Amino acid sequence: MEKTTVNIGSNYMDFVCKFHQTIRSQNIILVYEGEINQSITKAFSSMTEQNLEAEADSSVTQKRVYHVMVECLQNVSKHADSEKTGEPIIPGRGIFIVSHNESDYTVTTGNVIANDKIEIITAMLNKFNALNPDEIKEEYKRMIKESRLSEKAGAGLGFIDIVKKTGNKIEFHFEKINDKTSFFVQKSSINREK
Amino acid sequence: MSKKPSKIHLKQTEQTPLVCLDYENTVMKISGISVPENATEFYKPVLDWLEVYSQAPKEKAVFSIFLDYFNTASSKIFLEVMKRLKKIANHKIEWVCYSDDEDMLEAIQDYKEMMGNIIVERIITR
Repeated sequence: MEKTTVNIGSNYMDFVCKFHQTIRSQNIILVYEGEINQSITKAFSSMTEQNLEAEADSSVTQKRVYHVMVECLQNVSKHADSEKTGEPIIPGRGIFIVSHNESDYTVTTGNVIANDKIEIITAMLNKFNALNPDEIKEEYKRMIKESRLSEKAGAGLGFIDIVKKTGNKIEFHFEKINDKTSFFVQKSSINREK
Repeated sequence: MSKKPSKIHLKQTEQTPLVCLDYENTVMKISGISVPENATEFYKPVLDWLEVYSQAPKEKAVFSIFLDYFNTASSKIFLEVMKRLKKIANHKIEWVCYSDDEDMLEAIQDYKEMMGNIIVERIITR
């Protein structure tokens, strides 16, 4: 991956101030990088639940944000791979960002995945993004019925559930790290219903 | 004589629901929040309980569900629970839901389309 990170140089204090300004200007309410396990999921979801209650959002919106957060965090926790080997690591590691503006909330995750998963994830997301709400509903039911009771067989279900609940497409991007792995970024948005 | 399933009572936590499965008093109930990461592991005792129960079920019973949220990992298990109950005569699922909980109402509708009239919704106001 091309080095595009900000050079902090000797002025760490300046970096912190700029980082803070960036977070504020992007309306980011939560940003985290690290291991994503059950207790992190639990902490973030209850934290955001409390934050949301202070805002003037309907309970439907609040629940959708909570729901999308849980699905996204559990996706990273279960499906992230190791940067060096491309083998699964449990719990997964990644970045997690929640932001909002006047019209919607966005939940973004980024994690390392093996390059051989890119094709299947791309095909799945493109497929779900192209379906209309009725088709999504039918596909969702078909997938639940067909999914076996294994934990790993749930990745696609998380994605389609987000598309179904939010009514919005999932934006995604892959940034190549090395021959084995890439960084997978996915962004979901939830409209704010008043 | 078939053996009776022993009582299960799990308290509600931040990520898992209250579960009460009581043969003696004919109580089958799940309520609260269901977002366990490993739903298969969490719900294994429930499926096992139903397995034993189905050998010598009550003549008639209602399995009650009243949830605030559930994740997709749980949604697969619920379908499995319903499939098992559907095989037992005179057993229904009563799904309680608040009238303003749009997404839960839709989820119930999806399950009804998949499972048919075994599911009866009871809509309440806050």
